Amino acid sequence: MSKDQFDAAIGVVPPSTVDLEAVLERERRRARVRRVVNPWTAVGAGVAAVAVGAAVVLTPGDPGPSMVSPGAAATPSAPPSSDPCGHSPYPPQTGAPIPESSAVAAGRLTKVLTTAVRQRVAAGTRLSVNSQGQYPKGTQHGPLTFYHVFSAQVSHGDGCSGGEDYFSAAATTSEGPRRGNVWAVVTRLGGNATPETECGPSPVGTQGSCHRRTGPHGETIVEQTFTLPDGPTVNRTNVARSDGTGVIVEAQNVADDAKQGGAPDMPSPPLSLAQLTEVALDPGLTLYP
Amino acid sequence: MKRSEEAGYRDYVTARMEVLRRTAYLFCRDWHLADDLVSITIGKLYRHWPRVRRVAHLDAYVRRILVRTWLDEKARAWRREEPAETLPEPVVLPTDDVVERIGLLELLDALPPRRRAAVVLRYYCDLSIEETAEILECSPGTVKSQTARGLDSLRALVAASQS
Repeated sequence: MSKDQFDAAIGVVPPSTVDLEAVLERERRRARVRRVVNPWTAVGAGVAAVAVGAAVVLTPGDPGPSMVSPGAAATPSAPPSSDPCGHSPYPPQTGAPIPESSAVAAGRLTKVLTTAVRQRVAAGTRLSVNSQGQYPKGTQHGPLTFYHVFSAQVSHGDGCSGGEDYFSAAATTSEGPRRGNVWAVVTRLGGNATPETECGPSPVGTQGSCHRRTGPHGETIVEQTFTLPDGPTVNRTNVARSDGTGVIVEAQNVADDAKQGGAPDMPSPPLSLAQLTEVALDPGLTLYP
Repeated sequence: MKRSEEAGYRDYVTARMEVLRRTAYLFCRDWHLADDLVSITIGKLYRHWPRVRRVAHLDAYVRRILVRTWLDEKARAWRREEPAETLPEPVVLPTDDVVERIGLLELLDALPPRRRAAVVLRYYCDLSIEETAEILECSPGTVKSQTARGLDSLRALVAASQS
């Protein structure tokens, strides 16, 4: 038995339906969310953007809820499951379903975030589309326009993919030749896009700091800043609200994504840590208005 | 992942796409499922690319992902094959070439998943017993017995088709 015999047996090979670009897009998105959840383990390679994130449980009438896997929807006291996705490293999402449809919530959050960011960036700063605002593949969303990221959780044996359920928005900022970016996500607390609630060790190869404190209404605030080996700086604020909403807002001093490498496009991110925290604490950035 | 790393990943995957699809097809004999297996495999590879792109045996690493993906897929309840006491009837065979071709694929189809994987890895991917054992996470002796039984089945099939 030889390789030639196998090739002959296979015969004519049909055109491939493997979509490499779709795979790349899915994995980039997965990596982005993963480093938002645990930035210190992923930052060694670099990160870029401002992220405000919160994962959301859909309301009745949305197309997604029935697709949420038992593992993703389980309560913390749920018994162990044979479902490999039930052993997800991420905590399960908690809290009540959001009271709005995803479209209404996205529209409302977009207005709140856009206003909050415009009030704080330097005068004359323009907001434009950012590649991280593309979802699903081929659908580019406007600057700081929230979109609902949702995918069913699928087990691959040695891990699970999917299980995404959050709102995200991104924009490139331009102030003359200076360019940066801002990125945000919103979910119920828990899930794979939940904000950090504790500071971890600094990422290898970066210089940075992390500060944890409690906000005026009992919010848990974790402020992180770090500089990547190539020079870009990432500012990120994580806010866990008592109403069950998680918000992550991130700003980078590169136009697209610091993790892609390259030199900074402006001296510092378009929003400081203090400004990001102000944005993340905006009362309007909640899933339970 | 940096752009330079992603470019390397893209080059590698593009170069290996054909052989990955063929290997996956030999595992599952379904081009749609084969492409699904390859998509999952290259997705997993992407996650580890910065770490594994310089390993000495990258092809073996990727084959291992593909095999594990296939075996995991077979383990799913809705994918399990119905056990049969006899081999399925061969389709109408117009030429000797097609007879041989169908026979080989029918043989593969009749083998249990791990034995099928052993045969494909040994005789299509041209791996050694030790390399095959590593990918299948079993002992070399198990690989020997799996492939020997696979060959026995082939001989039986050939004998039946000639009678």
